[in-house]
Amino acid sequence: MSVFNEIAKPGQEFRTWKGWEKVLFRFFFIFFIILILPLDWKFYRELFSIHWAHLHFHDLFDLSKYQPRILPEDRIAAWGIGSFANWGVFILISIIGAVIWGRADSGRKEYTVLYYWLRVLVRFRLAFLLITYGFIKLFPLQMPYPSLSNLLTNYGDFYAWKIYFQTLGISPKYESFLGFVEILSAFLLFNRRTVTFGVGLIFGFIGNVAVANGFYDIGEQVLSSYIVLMAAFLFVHDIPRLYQLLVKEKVARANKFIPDFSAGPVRRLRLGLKYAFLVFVVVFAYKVFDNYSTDPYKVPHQAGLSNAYGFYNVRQFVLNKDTLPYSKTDPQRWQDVIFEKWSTLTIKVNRPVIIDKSSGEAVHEKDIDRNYELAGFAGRHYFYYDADTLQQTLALQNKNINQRGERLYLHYTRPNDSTILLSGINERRDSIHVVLARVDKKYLMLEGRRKPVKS
Amino acid sequence: MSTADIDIAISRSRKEAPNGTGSTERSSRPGRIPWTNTQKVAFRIAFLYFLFLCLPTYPAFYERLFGLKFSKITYNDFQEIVAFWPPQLVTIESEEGIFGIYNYINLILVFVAAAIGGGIWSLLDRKSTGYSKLYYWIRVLARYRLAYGMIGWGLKKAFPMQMVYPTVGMLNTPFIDMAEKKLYWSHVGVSFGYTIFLGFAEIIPGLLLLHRKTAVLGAALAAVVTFNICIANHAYDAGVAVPAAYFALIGIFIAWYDLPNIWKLLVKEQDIVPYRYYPDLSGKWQKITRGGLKTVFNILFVPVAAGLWAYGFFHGNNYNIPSTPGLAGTKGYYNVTEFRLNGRLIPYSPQDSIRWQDAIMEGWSSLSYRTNRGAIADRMIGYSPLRVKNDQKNRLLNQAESQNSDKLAKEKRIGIWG
Repeated sequence: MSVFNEIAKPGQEFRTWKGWEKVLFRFFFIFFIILILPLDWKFYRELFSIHWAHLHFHDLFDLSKYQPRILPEDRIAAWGIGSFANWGVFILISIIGAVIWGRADSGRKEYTVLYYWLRVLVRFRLAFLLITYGFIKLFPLQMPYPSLSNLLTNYGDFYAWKIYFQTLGISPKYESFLGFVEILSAFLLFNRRTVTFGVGLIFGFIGNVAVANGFYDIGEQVLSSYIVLMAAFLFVHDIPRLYQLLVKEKVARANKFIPDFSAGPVRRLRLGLKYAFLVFVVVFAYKVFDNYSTDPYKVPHQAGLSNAYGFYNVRQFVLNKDTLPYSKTDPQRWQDVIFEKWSTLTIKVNRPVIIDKSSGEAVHEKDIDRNYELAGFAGRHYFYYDADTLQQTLALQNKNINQRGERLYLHYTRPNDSTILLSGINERRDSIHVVLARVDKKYLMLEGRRKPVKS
Repeated sequence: MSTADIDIAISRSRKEAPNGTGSTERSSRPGRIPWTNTQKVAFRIAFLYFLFLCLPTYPAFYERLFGLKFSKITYNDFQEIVAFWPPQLVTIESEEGIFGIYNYINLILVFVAAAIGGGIWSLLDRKSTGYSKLYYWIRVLARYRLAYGMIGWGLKKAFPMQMVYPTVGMLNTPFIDMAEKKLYWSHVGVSFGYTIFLGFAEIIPGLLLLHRKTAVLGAALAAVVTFNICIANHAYDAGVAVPAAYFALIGIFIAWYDLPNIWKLLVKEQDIVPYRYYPDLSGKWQKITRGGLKTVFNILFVPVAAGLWAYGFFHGNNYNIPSTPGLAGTKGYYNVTEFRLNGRLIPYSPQDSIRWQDAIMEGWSSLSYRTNRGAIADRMIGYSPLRVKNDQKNRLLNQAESQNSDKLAKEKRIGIWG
């Protein structure tokens, strides 16, 4: 520990702490050490499974979300207070630890130096998280612009979290702005003296996100509470002096403990930490930008059938030689079809969707597994297709993890630009013949308010 | 520490010497260090600027205020008082409505006017050594203006009315068929809890602003919150970006007084001695006036306003939702299984412009149906109506108050619109 103590200048005077200050400090020290230091072996499993030669930003992103887990994953509630079960155990450990520590160290007058280091740890931990979440918003990857199928899904067919994500997704510039604020607050945490300003931004912007996480079932409520807890902990340092200055209007004493980093080992430690963090920021930013500009991870990669992008009315639908009329209730008769810009085709038909309840957050190499476009939605069936442009065939497979068994093999012809004829067999091995007619409609969301009213 | 003490001593003797009167202001640090010329000029401009911004400057405000009927007062009347706009010197009728991006010209023009006024003031007033007193009072005005504004806007959300929980009709409408602003509001409206949280994110800064010791915290929070609202309004074309920016400006102005010392304390790590100036209000009548005004206004704009919002919310006067009940037990989404036009059966088709595809009954007296026929969208956004120059045909759509249900209800005209 002597290395850490070197930052105290000789002759530095320390204020004697009150009893309750020492008790609280011991508790939070143990609690944050458990939460922040990578003590959980699962961290190393993740760390060592990273292919550094083909580093994906998401590997680092996953690491930044690290929290130790002591209870088995399947025993923990996904929602509500139960999801904080691990924290409950850590709080218990910290209380016991603080009591023992208090007994063993009863003569202690203060923990100024240790407090300083704990704040360093919390600052870097928090900045690490804010940087990763900041950059995936600055380059709008976290909430990608919604697909045409997503846009043409009824509002009531969304989970609340999906409404939240998609509403942010339609305004990439606003998403970038929110990301910028997160990065800015991370850099304010980087400097000891601007921490409180960073905390202010975190409360104002990220606190908002944290609350939204709870209300929209986004599923990261433990993580966002963690962010708010760390920010609050950092803020505590300056509360008494701000209170003196602004409310009591008495002489406000500034922080008197100025760490001295001139000694060799501690200087190297500090520089090492600083540069490691900066290198991380640069590498991460580059990797995120690279992903954003070449292959946004939540969006399928392979291009769709050329010039097919659009919304199609199913003008004719023949099932085993029976022509089925338009119907909103028939479980077989397609109502409309959408070709995405990538190789996804979606069908609206009155057949239930078993909803993909994941968040669509994971990284997948194959397009069929990239499920953000269907996660949290009912209303449409999403199919991945392989197009053979020579034979003019489409091999379709349902993207939904619950309905992967559905496969369709269709032959296509395109008599003109706005018509596609499909014929082949559907997921029930019935023969179908479908006439798709492209619908060109003006949409209020895209038209906006900037054009004159037309009647 | 010690140097600051000496400064005070010097300034005290300097000020007291010429006019000989004793100190009447109570403060350990009376703010009497003579101001620099730059400070004085900057103050004069800022004073005039925020005076113009914080007082309602258009006649309609006063007409409404004095035309209030006490028997018919609702939350909406309170809201109209606290939600007055900054001076509108120029109304540019852009496609974005009156609060489009061009509307910033008004904030700039008022500043130009304040700069001119400040220049004249500087020419006339060459004696003043500082304006601590005026600075105090302009902050009082700004604080209360911002506080009541924030609380008013917050109450709209604390009693979730501003952002409506999506109606059955909206739930059965594709995402893309709604305007961006509607999408932004609805994504909040989806969650009652989140809407209430946002309400308190405005009410709490407002309450902090009511007390001069916590005002800086309230002002800083209000500035952060309204700045975010401003950016979001631009991002989603939601129509009230300029009023939000206006609130943020006032917040920054109030916090400005304390910011240099907060900066010195936290960033420069210097001890700070008390520096705030308070005018002496210890006289009997001064005490009574101050206490009386404060009590009356605070009671009116906090508990009474909150009570009216609560009353409206719990008694069916939700200004964004019709209040006439619908047919009992009919609320829901209906497929149109049979449709006859003049006795002739028309089969379902998504292409048909007459044949209804589905119909929706709301919990109130609204019925909507879908056909393949274009609709003229009502693009009214909050208080910022779409205006199209020389468009006589769609005049009603372009009027500012075409959707003010509260007003229409009072005039018993709601039937026309409901």
